[in-house]
Amino acid sequence: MSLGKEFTKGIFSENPLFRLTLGLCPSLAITTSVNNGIGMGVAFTGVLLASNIAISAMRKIIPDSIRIPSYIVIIATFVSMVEMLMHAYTPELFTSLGVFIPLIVVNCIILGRAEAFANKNGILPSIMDALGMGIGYTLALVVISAFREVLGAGTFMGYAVFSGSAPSALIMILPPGGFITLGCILAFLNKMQNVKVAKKAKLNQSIAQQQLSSN
Amino acid sequence: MMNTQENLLIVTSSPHIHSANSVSLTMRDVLIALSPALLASLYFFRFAAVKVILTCVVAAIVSEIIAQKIMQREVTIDDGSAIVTGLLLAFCLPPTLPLWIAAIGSAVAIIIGKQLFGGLGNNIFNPALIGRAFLVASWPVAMTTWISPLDGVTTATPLGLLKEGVTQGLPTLNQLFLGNVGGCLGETSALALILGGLYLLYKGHIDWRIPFSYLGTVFVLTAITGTLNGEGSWYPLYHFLGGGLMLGAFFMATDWVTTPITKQGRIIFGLGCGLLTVIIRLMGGYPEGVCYSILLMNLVTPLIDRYTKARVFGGVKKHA
Amino acid sequence: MRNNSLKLGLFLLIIAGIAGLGIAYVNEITNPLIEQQLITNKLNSFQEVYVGAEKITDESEKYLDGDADSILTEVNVVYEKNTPAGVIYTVEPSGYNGKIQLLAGFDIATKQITAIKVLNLSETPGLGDNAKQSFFTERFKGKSAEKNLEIVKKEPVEGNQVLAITSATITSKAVANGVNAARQHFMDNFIK
Repeated sequence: MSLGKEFTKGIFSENPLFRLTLGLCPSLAITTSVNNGIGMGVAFTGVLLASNIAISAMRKIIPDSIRIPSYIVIIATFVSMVEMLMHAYTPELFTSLGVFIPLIVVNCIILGRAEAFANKNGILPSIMDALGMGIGYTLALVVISAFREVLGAGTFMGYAVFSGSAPSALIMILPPGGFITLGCILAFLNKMQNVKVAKKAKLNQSIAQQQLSSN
Repeated sequence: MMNTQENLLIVTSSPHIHSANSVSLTMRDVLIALSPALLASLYFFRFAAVKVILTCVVAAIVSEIIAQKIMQREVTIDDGSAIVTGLLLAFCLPPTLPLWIAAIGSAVAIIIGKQLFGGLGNNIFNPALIGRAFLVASWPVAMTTWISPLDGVTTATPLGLLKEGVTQGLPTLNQLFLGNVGGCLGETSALALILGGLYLLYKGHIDWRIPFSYLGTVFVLTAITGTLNGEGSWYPLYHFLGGGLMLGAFFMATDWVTTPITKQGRIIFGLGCGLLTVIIRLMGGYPEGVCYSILLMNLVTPLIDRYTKARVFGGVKKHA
Repeated sequence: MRNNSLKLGLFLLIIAGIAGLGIAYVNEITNPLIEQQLITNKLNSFQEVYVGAEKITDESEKYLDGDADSILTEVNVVYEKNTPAGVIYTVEPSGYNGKIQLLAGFDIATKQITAIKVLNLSETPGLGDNAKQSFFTERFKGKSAEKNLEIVKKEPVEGNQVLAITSATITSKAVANGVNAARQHFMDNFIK
């Protein structure tokens, strides 16, 4: 697989949130505003990039039988570092993301990429994989949080969207709103996928028929 | 031979196959049963009631048509179930609610509460209550602004006053019984709701076990707490007649689809609803707990059915 | 076999050791910044509830003995020319969804609340969450410390009444409880 493909697969065909449906818990919890979504996405991408590089570099020396504990130690280290750096340099983001930064450790996407990709591939593909997955995850978070922030708080990235007096639907920035939004987006994407698959099948069928008739 | 008999005895959970005709007949009876409460709300809240009720019913019908068209299902609007859902939702909304909020409530009830689960017969929760819960979480201020009947002055509900610890100037039990108090459109008149409930019982559409165990549990528990707190006999009666208890017990907790099918199961369901209602009313943050208690019990309905299902005797043990 | 598990253990130990060193290094860099930030934040919030405070000393140990209300967590005394001029309390009353941490400032000369500020809360967004907004905290400003504050739902008529946040009475009451606890302690200890 080419490096470009390693990069784009995380954004579209293997989007961690919308396609692999991994890391749902923090995604539902922090997507109450677009700023949170971007912040979480960037922190996540940083950790994933660092852990993918480290694990890919050490893939030959980490003994197979203790690879999971080794990965966890490595990931936890990077998460602690990111947490401290955010606390020191971006205190506001740190307070709003709160408990979810330490939880990046148990975000299954990171361990998943370590296990499924970084320990089998070289450093360069692993970097592309991490960047693609990170950007895909960030985009997914932004999409969810955009819906939730606009509908639930009437703002986008903190700026008021509606000038009218209609109060926004609070439920969208409460936990149920996260489930409703994610459910609707997944349903929409699956529908699109089905339509695409059906179209493709039809196309193949017609090609086959043409070939048959031409034969 | 054995087989057919067994099949006759097996109680299955919903969805059951039924012709649209029987559904629409039942829905007609439900509408008849709701009409006393409808008249009461029109009398007490006048034009405000007309607007909210019409909005809810129309929005429910339109949402059902749109949802069924998009999902490429048969449009079953003539079975009347959307009308009943819209009406029940309107009954648990405050009269002053902005109409666009009421319309959203109906759309949520039909689309999220019913069609997304697979349509009538497959929904886990009572659709009207889903609509109400959505609105309460979304627009809490609009959903808790009450007016007193007839004169339309802003007021609090009787249970709201009770929660605040107000003891002077509470509406009388008589007012509660007739419905001359602040509250949701269709919940205020206990008399009208009881009349409708009795009609449904008489027609055999609902099982007495759920409303009776529900109402009984609330009455007994509030009587106990009332006695412990040194309140008079008015206290349990107040909880009995006030709020949405009658509406919930006769019309919401008896929904066939979302409640247990076994006899013991229904009693357990009613007990659970009563217990949760009293807990929310007395210890929770809200003055009223009927909506959430029924939704929570809807959630455990499959479990109740599973543990109370009658064993089939004489059959071969099923191996999973 | 035994040799092997020893080797594995050693490997993990080395990885953990390197990780520890890395974290220690980052900590070394960020810790002073974080500490500095916490202190400035605290002083800034103190300034917000007691404008113009020159010298503030933490006297929690002196005032918060066994008898004090357990929701009081810190007592900071504001000094002007070496005599106490005001008190800033940190209180943690229980709200609708966990503890609410807030500051309440009192002036000794006027026996009034100078201001309150909500530091931390996890109340419902859009409702109880509004308790940190100035429109609500302003309602406590200048209230007398001599009377218990009371949360009301309609426009206040008495001096000791505070208008609740719409549809968030529980949160409003929690904030008032916290302020009342501080007020009581203030009256008992600083006003003779």
